[in-house]
Amino acid sequence: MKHIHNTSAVTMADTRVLRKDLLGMRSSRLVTNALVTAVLALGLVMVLAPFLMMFLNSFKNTRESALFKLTWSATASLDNYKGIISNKSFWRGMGNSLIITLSTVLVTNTAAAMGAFFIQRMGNRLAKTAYFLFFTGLVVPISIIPTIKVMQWLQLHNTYPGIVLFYTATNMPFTIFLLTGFMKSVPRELDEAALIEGSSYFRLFTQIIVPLLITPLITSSIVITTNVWNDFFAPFYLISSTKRQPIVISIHRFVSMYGTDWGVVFAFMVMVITPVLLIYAFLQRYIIDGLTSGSLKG
Amino acid sequence: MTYQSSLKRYPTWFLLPALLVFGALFVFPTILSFFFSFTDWNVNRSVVSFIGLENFRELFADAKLRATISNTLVYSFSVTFLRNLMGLLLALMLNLSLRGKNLLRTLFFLPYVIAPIVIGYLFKAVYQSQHGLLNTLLRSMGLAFLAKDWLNDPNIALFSTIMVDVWRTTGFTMVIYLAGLQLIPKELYESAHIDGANGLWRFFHVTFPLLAASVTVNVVLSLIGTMKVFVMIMVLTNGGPGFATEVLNTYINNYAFAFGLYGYGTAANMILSVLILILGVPVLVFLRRREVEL
Amino acid sequence: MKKGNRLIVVLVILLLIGSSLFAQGAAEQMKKPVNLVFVARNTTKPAAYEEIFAAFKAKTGHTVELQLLPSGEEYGVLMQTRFATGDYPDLFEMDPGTKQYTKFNSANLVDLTNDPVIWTRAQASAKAFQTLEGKIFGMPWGSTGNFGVYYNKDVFKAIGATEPKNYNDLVEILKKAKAAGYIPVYDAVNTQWPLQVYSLAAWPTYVDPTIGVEGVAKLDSNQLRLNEIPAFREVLVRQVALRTMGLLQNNFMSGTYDEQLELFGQGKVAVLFQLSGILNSLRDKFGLDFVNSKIGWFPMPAADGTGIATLQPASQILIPSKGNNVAVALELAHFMTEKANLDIWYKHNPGVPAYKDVTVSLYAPELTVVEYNNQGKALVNIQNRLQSSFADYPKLLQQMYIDGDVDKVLNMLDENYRRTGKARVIPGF
Repeated sequence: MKHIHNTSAVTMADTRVLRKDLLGMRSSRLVTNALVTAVLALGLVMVLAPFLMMFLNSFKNTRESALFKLTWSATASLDNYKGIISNKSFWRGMGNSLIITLSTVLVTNTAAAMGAFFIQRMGNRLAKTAYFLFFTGLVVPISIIPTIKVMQWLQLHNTYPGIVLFYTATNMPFTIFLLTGFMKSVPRELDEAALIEGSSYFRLFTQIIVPLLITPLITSSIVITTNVWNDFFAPFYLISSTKRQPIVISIHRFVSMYGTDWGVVFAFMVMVITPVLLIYAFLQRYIIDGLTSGSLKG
Repeated sequence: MTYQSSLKRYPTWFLLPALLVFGALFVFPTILSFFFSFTDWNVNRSVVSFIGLENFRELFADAKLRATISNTLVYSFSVTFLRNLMGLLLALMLNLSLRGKNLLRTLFFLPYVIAPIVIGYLFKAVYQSQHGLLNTLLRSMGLAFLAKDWLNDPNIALFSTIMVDVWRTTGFTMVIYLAGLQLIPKELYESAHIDGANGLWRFFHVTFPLLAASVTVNVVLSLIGTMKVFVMIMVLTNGGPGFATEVLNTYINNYAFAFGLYGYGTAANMILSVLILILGVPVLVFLRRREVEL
Repeated sequence: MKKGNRLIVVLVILLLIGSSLFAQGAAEQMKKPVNLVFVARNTTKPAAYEEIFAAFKAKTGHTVELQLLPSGEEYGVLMQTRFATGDYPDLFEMDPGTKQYTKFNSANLVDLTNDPVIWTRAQASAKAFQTLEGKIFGMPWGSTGNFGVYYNKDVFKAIGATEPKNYNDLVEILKKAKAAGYIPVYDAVNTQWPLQVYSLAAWPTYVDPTIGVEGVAKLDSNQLRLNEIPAFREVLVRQVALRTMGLLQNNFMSGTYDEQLELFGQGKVAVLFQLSGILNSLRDKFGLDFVNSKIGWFPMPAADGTGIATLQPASQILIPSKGNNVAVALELAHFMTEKANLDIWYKHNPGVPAYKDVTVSLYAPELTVVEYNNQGKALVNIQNRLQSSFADYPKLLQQMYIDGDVDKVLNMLDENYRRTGKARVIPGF
């Protein structure tokens, strides 16, 4: 099970042959290149136009924003944004999202790193069974209604710890796989040396293993952050108190039964996706590798 | 203490937190769902009693459910097919040496990191029949006859929701194919060149077989993911107009959860699980085979 | 043993994260003065509540947090879920009627039967409507609304029409409006909920006379089924006929509530099947003068005459008895029924008030409704007379607009009605 970072390191040298053309039509390489450029440009427009529309119209008033024009408006103002920023519940939602996301990252990484350490190093029947169990989590869908019931029994329904632990459970399979895979590249000799020197397992784990797992832990942190920040399903069912709802739920609440003020909705959505966009802008490589690594182990 | 015996002593408590949380909040509810799907549990009853297969009998007697299952399958297969086709095409193009190829990769992937609910509302605006971006564009190109009421016309609403998901996830599929393409040894192409093979032949006899792993991963992940679709449909159409875009997860929400019929909803979720398992077992088998060394 | 210690350390770390978050929540609740949670439907305009709550804070120091949740069937279930999980709000708005007492189990609600304050101020009719076997658990709130036919007087004048004498007359007017280039009826099919208004407004005119009080009682105890009432079926057939006769707006599938109001206000639409809530929205968009002088109202016309008005009783406010601050919640309830505060409410939400001696100016169309009521030609919305629900009715009607299959919709509605009855453990289901 190679890790994605290794695979992407193989990279572009190989493309020298491929780059000659797409399908081997050397004679018409120019035509091919023009065609490829045109298709890619078209694709790019299709991807970006909706975002541009959202951004431009987020500065417009109710009437103008309902026209969804791709132009800047003379009456554009920051009113929509000011309204949102001055809204207490917006900040509460953002705060909730932050608390829930960070807690999930912390708890999931801690539990998964420990679990992966045990599973990969022991490799006994318990480890294999656990590994398989986590595996099923990638395929079997969540039974949300019984989950609510379990949360109620555990007094966790409608609480921060409740949703954090739920996200920990749903992100566990991916994180365990990522870390177990990476553990293989951490030599066993390190363990042996440490243990022979009389180190405890706890010290071995915290002082030797974890520092070596930093790279995959960054990857998993980013994946968990996007998963949790963007998720609607879990808080929709598990958090009824508006006090503890993450910001994503507010978007839904925002568009009330009596129609939509698109300018405000767009501004709201721009604000909600900004944190993720910022992370993406700076760490896009990690994000792409991270989000796809769970699926391309091997 | 010998080294051998110490190796066997990695303490079990390392595994416990992960196992406990996952067991309590994923495995246990999943097992419970077997139990609850045979009960009349609902929001008005404090005492739950067994009613055998009654929930399933009611489910299959519901004409809506049949339409729902068919919608779910159409949605899932269409999204999977289209995003793979387009993802592969984009990957092949980006695999040529192009200027700005990394930037393009980043931008094509962008929709995948945005919250699906935001994408849903965004496309509600794009699809709006009077002023929406899509119809405005079509009219300005002289294609007014193609301008439709994308989300409210029962004949095309499902197609419209499918295209949003394709738009959102093609970048993801593309990245996996790109990684797969970069793993193909260039020697294979060189030998194919010497044989005088042409491009198409090379694609189908060299590239595609070596992409088999990526294809499998992409297809199965997409099938599993799209079967569970909820937020996107809820925001775009909420299963409407009528029942034209009802999928299993919106059905569970609209007809079980919203009515407080928890036993019934759990039974419907069982149907979803079974459908996903039928499609998901291949991934288990496939990926397990690659995990043999553990 | 060391092993055990390590395990404890790790679990403690995990627990710490959790408990610190718990503690934060607990600390919030301990603070004084009290912060009440008041849940309302998101169709409610918050301005009036906010003004009243500000006055409450000025007087008592207690703050009130207004939480708005999606309205419709979903709202009731959200509240039930909160009850089931012990997440009680301090007070919450609910649809009118005593059926809510069974839905929320009256054991969990504060008994208001002998409340010394509320009933000295409420209208007797409002009190009577909330009484079940001598017990009251809900405080009336708001106004008696109505379902019916709203028309634009300018459009009627332009096509030389007067209020219809019977249903055929109405159809003729609509055809005339169409010929003159107006939209005869605008139906907000995409918004869904307005689709119900037609048949609910038609129920007192067409269905009640044929099934009588006994029929309603039978329906309520599952001895009569919704798909066994020919008059009800005919109502839906007539609703579909509006579509097939081309009397709806073009692209009716994408019709929205917002556009409905907009075009009606601009004088492009002849008739809306709507509820009195639109008057507030129209006032906000087009001014009070417009509402009073340009809009007319009549009940769904009968086959051979004018119809019966459909009333929607005022909402109610329920106080969970297991809330954290029941005494303060009751204090707020009493405070809300003081004249000054009722005046604030009715200033923002004019309508036939559930309370006596309040300052309120009714919109002109509502005066017509009051007349009907005074003449005894008004009945309460059938949904508020039954314990089970017309669950998912709007979406079923949307489906009816798509395929025109009235029987399919009736069968599905009947199934939903009985299923809900069974789920709620209503006798007879």
